[in-house]
Amino acid sequence: MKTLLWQFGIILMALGAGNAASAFFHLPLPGSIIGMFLLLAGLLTGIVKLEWVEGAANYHLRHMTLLFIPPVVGLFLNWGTVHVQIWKALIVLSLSSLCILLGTGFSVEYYEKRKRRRDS
Amino acid sequence: MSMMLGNAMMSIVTTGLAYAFGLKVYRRSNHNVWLNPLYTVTLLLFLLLPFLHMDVKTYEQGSSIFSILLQTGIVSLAIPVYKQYPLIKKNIKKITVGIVSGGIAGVASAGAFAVLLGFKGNVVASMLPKAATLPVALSVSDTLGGTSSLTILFVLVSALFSLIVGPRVLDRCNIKSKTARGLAMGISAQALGANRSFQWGEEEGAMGSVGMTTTAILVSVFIPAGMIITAYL
Repeated sequence: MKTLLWQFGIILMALGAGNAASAFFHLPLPGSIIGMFLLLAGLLTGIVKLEWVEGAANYHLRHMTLLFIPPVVGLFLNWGTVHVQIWKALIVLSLSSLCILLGTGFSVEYYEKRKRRRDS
Repeated sequence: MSMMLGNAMMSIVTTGLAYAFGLKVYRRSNHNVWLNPLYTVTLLLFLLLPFLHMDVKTYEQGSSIFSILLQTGIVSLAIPVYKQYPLIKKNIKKITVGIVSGGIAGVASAGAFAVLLGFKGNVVASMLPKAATLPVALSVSDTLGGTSSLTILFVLVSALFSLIVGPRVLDRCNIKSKTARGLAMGISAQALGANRSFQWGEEEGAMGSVGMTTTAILVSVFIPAGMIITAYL
């Protein structure tokens, strides 16, 4: 438990550094994404060892679902303030999701097939 | 002050306990898709909160700690990306092809359909960043002048739709490549999709995390930049 908290402290520091960098340089990227890059750079250069953060990060990622619950509950509790034509929105969102799934899926499949043909 | 602290503790503890219970049910049911804690715990809390005399404001103030944890969660994604770094480097072209086509298809189709169906500016602004993971989408939608409650709704609805429909669509269209399946789920359903693709295997899972993080980065860089450029034209 204690090591997990220490490890979480390192992750929190990366987030703090990311937020500071985002604010200081007026970057369009949110601090969390910059923090992720800083931590990745630290790992790749060997400044941060994998063992220092692995346990806490894995635990954190395994329970990511928990963190999505409060905003969803808040959304339902605030339902009265949501002014949107919900059926139309559903159509747009589902069509767009299908476009992403198929766009990614087919382009990668096509790329792999072409590459295989070229290699053989 | 102590009253506020008590309320904050109350909403954190209630959410935590409800989640622990929901997770137990999910594991007992052998990971039945419909018993995902995201659905069951949300429903449970929604029904429970009025009995605890907690109104929206108190709950949201109290649960603000979870939004910090959502950010550290994004930072934690550095770990799976680091572990799969050799695999990513080897497949970098393939990954770029998938993410660029998926990302463009997603943003362009959302914008086009939204305008076609007659949605107004702030709704479209809340819709465009929906392919990014929640904290990123929220900050981008904010810079575009979107509404945060709408952004949460759109991100979650698209993620849930892709989570449920995605695997079937990929099977039906005979998309077998591990990279393609992982990326498609990560881009369309973010953290939920990356999680789902880990069930297929380590390689799919890594691709899912890569898809989700890169999409978040592309959305947070290119959408605001695009808006600035179109504003100048």
